[in-house]
Amino acid sequence: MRYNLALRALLALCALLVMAESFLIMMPARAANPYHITFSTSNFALQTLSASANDLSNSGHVLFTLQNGTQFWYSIAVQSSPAGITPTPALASDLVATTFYGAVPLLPPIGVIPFDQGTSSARYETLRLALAFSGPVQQVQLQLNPFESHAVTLDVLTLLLQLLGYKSASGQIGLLTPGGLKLLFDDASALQDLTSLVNDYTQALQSQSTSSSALTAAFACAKDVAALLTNSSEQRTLADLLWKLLGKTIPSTVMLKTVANFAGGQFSLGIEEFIMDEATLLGTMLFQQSNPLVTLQSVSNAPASQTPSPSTPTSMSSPTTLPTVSPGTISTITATPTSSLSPTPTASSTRHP
Amino acid sequence: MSRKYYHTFYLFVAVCLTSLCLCLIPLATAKAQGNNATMQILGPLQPPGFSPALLTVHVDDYVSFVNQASPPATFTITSDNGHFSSPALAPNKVWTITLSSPGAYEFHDAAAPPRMISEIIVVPDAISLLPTPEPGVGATALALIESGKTPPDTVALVTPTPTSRTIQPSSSSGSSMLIRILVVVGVALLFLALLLGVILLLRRLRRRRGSPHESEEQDAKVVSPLALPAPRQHRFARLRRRKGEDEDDLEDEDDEI
Repeated sequence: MRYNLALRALLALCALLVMAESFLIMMPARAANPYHITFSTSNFALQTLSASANDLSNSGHVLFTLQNGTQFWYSIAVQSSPAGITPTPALASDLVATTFYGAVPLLPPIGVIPFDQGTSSARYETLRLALAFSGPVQQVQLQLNPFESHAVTLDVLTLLLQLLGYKSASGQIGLLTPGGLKLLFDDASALQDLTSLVNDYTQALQSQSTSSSALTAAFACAKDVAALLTNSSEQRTLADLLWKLLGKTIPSTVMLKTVANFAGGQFSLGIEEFIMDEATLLGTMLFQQSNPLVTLQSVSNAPASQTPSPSTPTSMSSPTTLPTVSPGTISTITATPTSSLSPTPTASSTRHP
Repeated sequence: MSRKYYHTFYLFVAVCLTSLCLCLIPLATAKAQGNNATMQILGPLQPPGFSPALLTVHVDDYVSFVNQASPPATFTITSDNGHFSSPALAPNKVWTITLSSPGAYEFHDAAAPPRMISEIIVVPDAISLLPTPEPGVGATALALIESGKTPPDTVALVTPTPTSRTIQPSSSSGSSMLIRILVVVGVALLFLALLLGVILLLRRLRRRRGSPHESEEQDAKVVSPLALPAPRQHRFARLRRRKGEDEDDLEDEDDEI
């Protein structure tokens, strides 16, 4: 009987010691990192477009990835609270991230630059980014928009290359030249017919709900293409722009000759019906949903009753799952919608201790 | 007579071969002239659609549809205007078409409602299309970019690769007309040679049905009235023997055939 009592006392003592030890271990960590980072995604309706967190353990260097497996460019608009928190390329040596996460942040599609990843059956283009939080109650939102003018301009240039018979995939290496993207947009803005083509193409993609408006916009696109190719003053600028876009891998004279030669055939009008159907079909599939949104925020580790803050996870836009991440853990949240047309993607969380 | 057949046989073979060459060379050349383009069929994970969505090719170019959908699925492709329709394309199967008339050919998968659309624009040879750069040129330009440099304007001039066909319409139509005439002549010659061959064979068979030495006797009848001097008679007898041997050889060959 006495032995039993002694054993019970010893067990209680051990339990107390374990609790005290764990408390002592946790205390310094909490003191060193009074907040943690959460990562969430919403409106990622396509399986081929995703965002995932790579490392949330270090709030001063949060790593995450954007992946685009579609054939459309997406612009990235950043909003932060407080202002000034901006993602940067995760690696200075990453040519793709340093090129496209600059003055005009863009997420490239597949089949444009020779850095597609994945397998032959499922490819994607990746942008690896880093973010530095300096304290709790901070939030950064990245909105991916396929209708932004820079993104649509690059879509239209790809369409023009295809129209002119360019068959090589991933050949737009000129985009990667130092300052090449800015030069390209400067040249594009000088082409009046290209600007109106971009506007009409955007309108066509957005008018997928009514086929008559899509037809009107598609007809306007075809007319813009014909005008762009037949205008002798714009021909030279367009040829120069496309030549630079291809990284000068074909002679500039060949490019100019092709542009000028193609204009005579009036085949540019043949794309009217194609653009209309593309707008009706792809517009419905790809763009019917709200723009995909990635939210990262720093949340205080203190209990909610002690420090009521306006940026609790529930106050965010519309995350489906919002895991809280303890310091010292890595959280990876990947949007995995059940089908390509599913309007509400589900989020699954995988934690690695 | 036998030697005559021997020569005719060789002549017949030569004419057949020449006319065959006349027929096949233009066809082979025509096949080499058509460029190849590939249209990938992609599945829901890629996302669904054809890649490239818009393809411009020359008249008579080859367009191969490759089913690379993920997850694997079978597709049937149908053009909107009914110009072409594919059989059911199983995963990793290839279906190739050529379009011989310029125009815009829109097509879709046969699912209802269609979820994948694409278009092939077919232009005449007179319109030049953008060439595909050499891999070496692309790699050189990319290496320069990766080292922080801008490719020089002459990067493409190192190995110019005008893979697109830039044929003038007049010369193109003229040469194709000449090729067609040559093919027709070749086919006609081939038929003529075959006809001659058949006639020759029939005559040979008719002779064989009769006495095997009938022809020799006839020859002898023709030759014997000639009064030849003694040395020439010996020579003539030698020639007759050799002719007999040749004829036997020819008969052996016929038997073997």
